Parts: sequence; structure tokens; C-alpha cells
Amino acid sequence: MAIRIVPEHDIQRHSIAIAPLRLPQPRSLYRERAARLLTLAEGHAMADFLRFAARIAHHQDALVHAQPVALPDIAGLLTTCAAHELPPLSVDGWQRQPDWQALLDGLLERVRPDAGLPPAVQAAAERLAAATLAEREQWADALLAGDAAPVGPAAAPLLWAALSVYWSQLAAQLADYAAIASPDGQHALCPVCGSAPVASVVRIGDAAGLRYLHCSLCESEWHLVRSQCSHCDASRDIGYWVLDSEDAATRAESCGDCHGYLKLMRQDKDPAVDPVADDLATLALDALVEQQGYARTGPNPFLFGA
Amino acid sequence: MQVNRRQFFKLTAGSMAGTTIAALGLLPEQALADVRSYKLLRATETRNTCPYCSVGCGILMYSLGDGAKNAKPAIFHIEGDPDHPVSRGALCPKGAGLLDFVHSPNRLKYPEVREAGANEWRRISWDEAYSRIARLMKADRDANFVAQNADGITVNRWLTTGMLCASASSNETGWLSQKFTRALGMLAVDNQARV
Repeated sequence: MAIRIVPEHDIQRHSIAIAPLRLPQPRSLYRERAARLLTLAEGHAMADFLRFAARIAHHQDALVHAQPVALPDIAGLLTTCAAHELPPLSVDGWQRQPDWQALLDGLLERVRPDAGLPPAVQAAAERLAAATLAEREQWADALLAGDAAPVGPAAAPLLWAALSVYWSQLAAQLADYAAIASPDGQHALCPVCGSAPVASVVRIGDAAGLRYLHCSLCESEWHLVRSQCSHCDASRDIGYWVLDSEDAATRAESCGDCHGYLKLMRQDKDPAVDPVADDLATLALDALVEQQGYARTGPNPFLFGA
Repeated sequence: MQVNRRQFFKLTAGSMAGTTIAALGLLPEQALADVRSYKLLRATETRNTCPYCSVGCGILMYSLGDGAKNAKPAIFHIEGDPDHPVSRGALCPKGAGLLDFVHSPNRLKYPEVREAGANEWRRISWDEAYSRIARLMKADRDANFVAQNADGITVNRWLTTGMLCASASSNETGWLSQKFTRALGMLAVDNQARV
């Protein structure tokens, strides 16, 4: 490795402070996720499922660019939430604007004629398209509360995809909030929308080595020190489970206290990791870690149970 | 503890029946056979402090092997702890070389003694080492302890022996060091702050 002498005035001075919150960048996030899913699908035992997720992520990307959502004026709410460490766009309290229904319609318009998707997906899209606005609201309320049964496991990823595009666009406009919020009090749920994380990622670049939990809904990320359970905060008996090699980028972080686990992706092992995509591509790890007696503590936007 | 803030998911439960994958007809036959072809490994990430100097940089040590499964845990990687308030993940060359230090064949693992006049180190037991150290300390202290100074003022000091303590010491270790040395009247106490 060649040694490069950097002039003093070119040396970047990094702040020693750790940013508690990293807001999403929906204009590139879904495109990168779609690409990552296609890469992971190559030669994968569940290639068809990964390609399905890639198509949906591709449509999400198109939606972000076609139907931008503006954040209403909520300066007062943001100040209050920052002062009391409450999620300003909480899935429990936030009054969803009609925009999200328009986003769902936009998604369904793209999914229904998409010949690259399996017939069962189109059937699920038809069902969502035929539903009344009130039905969709009820299904969304249930799904956001962790109950996929009313909408069904086949249509749930489509509903979630639209909700995610809605929430991530709002979250992306919270720069003022990120500047005043210090959500260090609780780690289990997203400090922006109150949803569970899909996984955590050890980042590179300006946050090198720091671990952030990634929200399954609004795609925001929040900081949590490493070697600590993201579910119960214990650090006594944390295990890292990997398939075949200790150098694997994706590992399952298990806790001997609450017997939960959530995956952790090491971006320093693979710079292209995406928490949602790499999680879907390592379901074998879930199966084996479950056999060890641990239960998952966060959902994946493309995988819902009955 | 924040248990129940999030729900637990039985994601695969052996079959993935009832999940999105099955509902969309995208679960291939070989997917579950594929699971059995993997080897599951468990690593541990342990937070610690670099032993070298008084800066006390935070480190993360990675070991493989689960004690419960008769495998001897072995450290395979050490890196700076990015969350540590002192060092934010940075390590100096000595700290970055800790893995070789841990596994060094030259590492001292048991007490040894080189007798006066001998040129060989001889391994001794911990019991023998403690007995000899205590005996030598007592002999030196009995011979050199100063109860009163020239003016007749009680000073109770022992100046011919000192103690060098470790750098990466906790508050509790510091408290014990102080109690131990001062109770004996020892004044020369230092911490290994510069290596």
C-alpha cells in the first residue's frame, strides 16, 4: 500500500459526536435495494422470491420519483417529540394522509401488468385494488400493529411497500428534527415511527464501525452500541451466529437474557449490504438460529406470517 | 429490560408454511434441504480495555467456540471499539497488534524464578511464588520500616520497596491497590502509564 502524505488543510476533521439518527434517502434506497436483491438472487435457492422482492423494490423506487409526499407543517409536534423522546411519525398516533392510498394505487397500477411477477402476486394486487378505502385503512392499522392476518401474507408485502414509501418520504424531511432529537433513551423501536427494526448494520464511511438499527417501515436508522441486545438492552450473553465462515457479512445477534435475535450486517465485510435484502437472502440462518432456541425480534417488509 | 416492546416472530418454524413465501408459491423444494447444508458457527464479541497504557482505549475482542459445546474459545480478531468515548475505535500500532500479543508463544503463563547466581529461569507454583514474595517483602520491611523519623514524629513508612500496578485498572482495582500498599506503609506506588 502506497503512503500518501495529506496536506494539513486537506485533513477532514471528524466530529467525535455520534449521530443518534440517520434519516433515509428514499430517492436512492429502493433502487439500491432492488439491485442488491437481484445480485443476491444469482444461484440462490430462493431466487424466485428474491426476484419478486426486487421487482417490488423497483416499483417502490419508481413511486418515490413519481409521487413525492410533502411533510405537513408539524414544527410544534417535532419540538414536543424531541423534548420527550417520542417518535413524531408514530404508527400509533400519526394521522396518515390520503397520499398513502394514492401511493398504494400507484404501486398496484405498476404491479398488475408486470409480467415479471408470479400470478399469486397479481391476485393479491387485484384483491387490494378491489378493496374499499376503509378496508385498506383497517388492514394497514392491523399490519402496522404487527397483525398480517386481516390482509393476508400474500398481499401484506404490497401494502407494507406502499406504507414504507409514504413513511420514508416523510422521514427523509425530518432534518430539523434530527438536529434537535437525541433519542438515546430507548433502542427497541424506531425513534421516528415507532416500528421494529428489520436488522442492524455496522456502517462504513462517516459512521465507520458504528452500529445502527434499520427501521422496517420508514427506513430511518438509529444508533445502538455494539455487543448489546437491541431488544432488551442486556449485554451479558450476546452471541453472533454465522453460516460457514466467521467472515460472513450477515450474522444473527442473539441474547441469552430475552432469547431474541436480530440480524446484523457488517458493511465493512461487504459494502453493498442492504438490511432488508441481505436478511431475505439468509433465511437459512433464521432457521438454524431458531433451532438454537431464539426467536426473531423484527419483521422483514417482504416476509409476513399468517 | 424492555421485553415485550417488540414482538417475537416464529419466522421459519421448520416449514415457512403460512408465510408470504408459501402464499405466493415461491418456496422451492430444495430451500429447506439447503438449510441443512450450512454449518452454524457462534462467535462472541467481548468489550474490553487495551492493557498497554493509561489512555485505556476500548477494544472489541472476537472469539469463536461455544463453551457449552466442549470447544475451547479462541480469540481470532481484535479491533477498536467505535463506541468507546476515549478512543472512538482508534488503536495505536501496539493496540492494533494485540492479537499477536494474546497468542504469542513467548507470553508468560506461570510464575518463574531465577535464583541468585543462576542463569536459568525455573517454573514454580503460584503457592510457592506467593510464599516467597511474602517472605521477601516481610524481611525487607522488618529490616527497613521507619516507625518514627529523626524528630520522633510517627511516620510508619517503608521506603525500600515499591509497587508497579497495571495501566488498565478499574476504580475498584485502584482502591484495592491503595489499601494494600498504604496499609504496609509503602510510599512508592506507580501505575504503568507509559510502556
